[in-house]
Amino acid sequence: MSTTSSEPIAEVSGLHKRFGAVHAVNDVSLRIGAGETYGLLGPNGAGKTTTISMLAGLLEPDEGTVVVAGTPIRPRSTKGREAIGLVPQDLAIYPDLSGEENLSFFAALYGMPNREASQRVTEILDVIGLTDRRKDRTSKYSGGMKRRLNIGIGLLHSPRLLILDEPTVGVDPQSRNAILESVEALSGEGMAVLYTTHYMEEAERLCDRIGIIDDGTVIAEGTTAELTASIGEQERVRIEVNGQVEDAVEHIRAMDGIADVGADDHALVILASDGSHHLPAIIGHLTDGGAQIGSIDVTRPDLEAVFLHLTGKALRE
Amino acid sequence: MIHAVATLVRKDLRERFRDKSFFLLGILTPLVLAFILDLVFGDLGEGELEVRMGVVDADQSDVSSQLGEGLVALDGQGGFEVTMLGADADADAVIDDDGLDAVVVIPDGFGAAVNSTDTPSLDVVENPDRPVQAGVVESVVDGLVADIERSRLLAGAGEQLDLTVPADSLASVLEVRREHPGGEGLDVGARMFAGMAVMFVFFTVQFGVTTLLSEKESGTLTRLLAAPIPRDSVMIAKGAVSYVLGVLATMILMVAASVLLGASWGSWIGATLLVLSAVLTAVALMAVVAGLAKTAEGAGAAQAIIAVGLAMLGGSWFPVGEDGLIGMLARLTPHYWFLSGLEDLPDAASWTVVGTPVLAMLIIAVVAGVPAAILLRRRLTP
Ligand SMILES: Nc1ncnc2c1ncn2[C@@H]1O[C@H](COP(=O)(O)OP(=O)(O)O)[C@@H](O)[C@H]1O
Ligand SMILES: [Mg+2]
Repeated sequence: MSTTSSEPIAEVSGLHKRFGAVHAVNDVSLRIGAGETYGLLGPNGAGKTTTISMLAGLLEPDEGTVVVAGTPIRPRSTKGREAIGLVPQDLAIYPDLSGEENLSFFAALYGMPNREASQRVTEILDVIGLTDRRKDRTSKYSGGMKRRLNIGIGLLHSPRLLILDEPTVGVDPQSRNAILESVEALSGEGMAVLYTTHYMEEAERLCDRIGIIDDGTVIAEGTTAELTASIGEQERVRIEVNGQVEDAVEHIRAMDGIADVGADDHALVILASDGSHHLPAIIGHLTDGGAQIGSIDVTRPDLEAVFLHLTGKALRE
Repeated sequence: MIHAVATLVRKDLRERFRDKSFFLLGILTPLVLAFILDLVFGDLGEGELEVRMGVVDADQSDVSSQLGEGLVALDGQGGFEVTMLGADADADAVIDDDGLDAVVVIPDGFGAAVNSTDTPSLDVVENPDRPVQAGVVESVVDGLVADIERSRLLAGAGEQLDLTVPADSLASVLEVRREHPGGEGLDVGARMFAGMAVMFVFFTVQFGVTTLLSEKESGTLTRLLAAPIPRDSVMIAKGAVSYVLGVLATMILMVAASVLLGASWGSWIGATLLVLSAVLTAVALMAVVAGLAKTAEGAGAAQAIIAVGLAMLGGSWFPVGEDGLIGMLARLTPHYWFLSGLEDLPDAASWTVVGTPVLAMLIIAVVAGVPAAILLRRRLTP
């Protein structure tokens, strides 16, 4: 493990949360060190937001503890909150206020003195590239600008731990890249970052360590290299298909050297020790079964392969 | 805590003043509605009110001529013009021809009735085109008959009645009637206006408490809960915003009614106290609804129904009966107490007359406020 040297900034142990019959978070423990970017990777409904809500003191855990920067975090206490910057999954900004007013409001709420606040607001507007539009109501902003402001508010009070909950969902590619770059820059400044996503490329690109979460449980944890090594030298074959595939899947699964076969909406995802080598036989099974084949992708071992290996499910929705 | 509440309140007020709905629903709509009602129900103010009445003495007795002279003596006082008509004049014809507002007819046998055990009565023939002025005359005559009844009781059997006394006191009776032609207390238009104001404040206060639900839906509540501020400060701020907006809107309406339409509320201290406590009650009641509702939209719909329902029950639209089940239910609404306080205020010697209504409203506010706080507190989750 790369950067868990000294005292962790955030330490979460044995978190549980149930909503009725749903065990949304089931014994989650995490440690995030200074300057570390930790990725929580998992599909929708895995329990990422619920974990974060307990970490940020929004939700009372059924069991378990959260300590951030040495202070226990509890919903009923305001202690230790300044150490956390939260960027919620939904755009949490006020549409009838300008970008500047949004920032100034939260600066005041975090108890920043006026002069410091206005200086910091100016800085953040510059960082998120909204200086020119600072006086405009945010309802007039583009989607990307809103996303940037959403993140800027989380950064405003210079937290030691920044939590970003799926910040790129529904964002155009250009804004998405800008967001990823700014997250990279932040961890360079020594901020600890907890980043949740269901995009494995983002986790791979940004995160020093990744926890893979499914059904409320962290099922694997480590660097990308560590995680992919755990499944051996397997390649991932992704084939877009149309039509009947059930019989073909059975045949493919029975082939030698095939570790796992999963399916999402329009594609089969196959883990094979030597994907390219098996490809002709796989395609043969599919066309025999009457399926039409679109594009075919063979990739080196990656996090999606890990997820498939661990859960038997494809990671994408 | 105070800093957090102040910051939240400032933010919310800025938002509310920026989107137009507060002004539209809180101020403009009730104002326009009140103007329309005013057109329908006649003058709100009556500084210029002039009343032209005729008197027909069909009785020609000592008593009736004394009374007739008393009425004619009012001529020229406080906007009254009184003409004595012939004993056999046709009141309807005179009204048609001369455009009088009303004619008081002292019927044949009036004097005999006064001096016996029969109940004497006076007739008022009204000009249908001048309902406000005719109403003044009618209420003057009602007061006069009551005065005569009283003097009869006091005088005892057989004694000669002195009807010049009621005619004297008539001047002061008239003075009061002239200022409040709707009857006792507030005039009809002003009452309508106050009814609209107290009904609409139930809509206005939604812009505070209900935004707790919309912030929850939009996700900004998550941010507020993550901030280093006490959770209750969010709830308190929402209540405070409701209160400020409600008081602001209602006071603007009351001042507008007084400046633009000449409505007279009597003591401003009393009226302000009534507003302060009515709005508090409205905030508490609407907060209960917000606390129970699933969504902001659902809360808005339920609040609209309850706002209109309470307004009808409490007499915002038309005066409700004082007795029976209806009267009892009416007393559970702030509207009833607000309006009854305003009714008493113009004639009262001091603003302290609003004590009972204010107390009643404060009790309703507490009874609703406690469960509201408990319910809303449970909504403070991401
Ligand atoms: N407030 C809630 N009430 C009931 N169930 C909830 C609530 N919040 C989350 N859940 C459930 O808990 C599970 C985890 O949800 P969540 O933490 O939002 O997942 P993710 O953020 O990974 O998509 C899901 O099954 C979700 O339906
Ligand atoms: Mg989520």
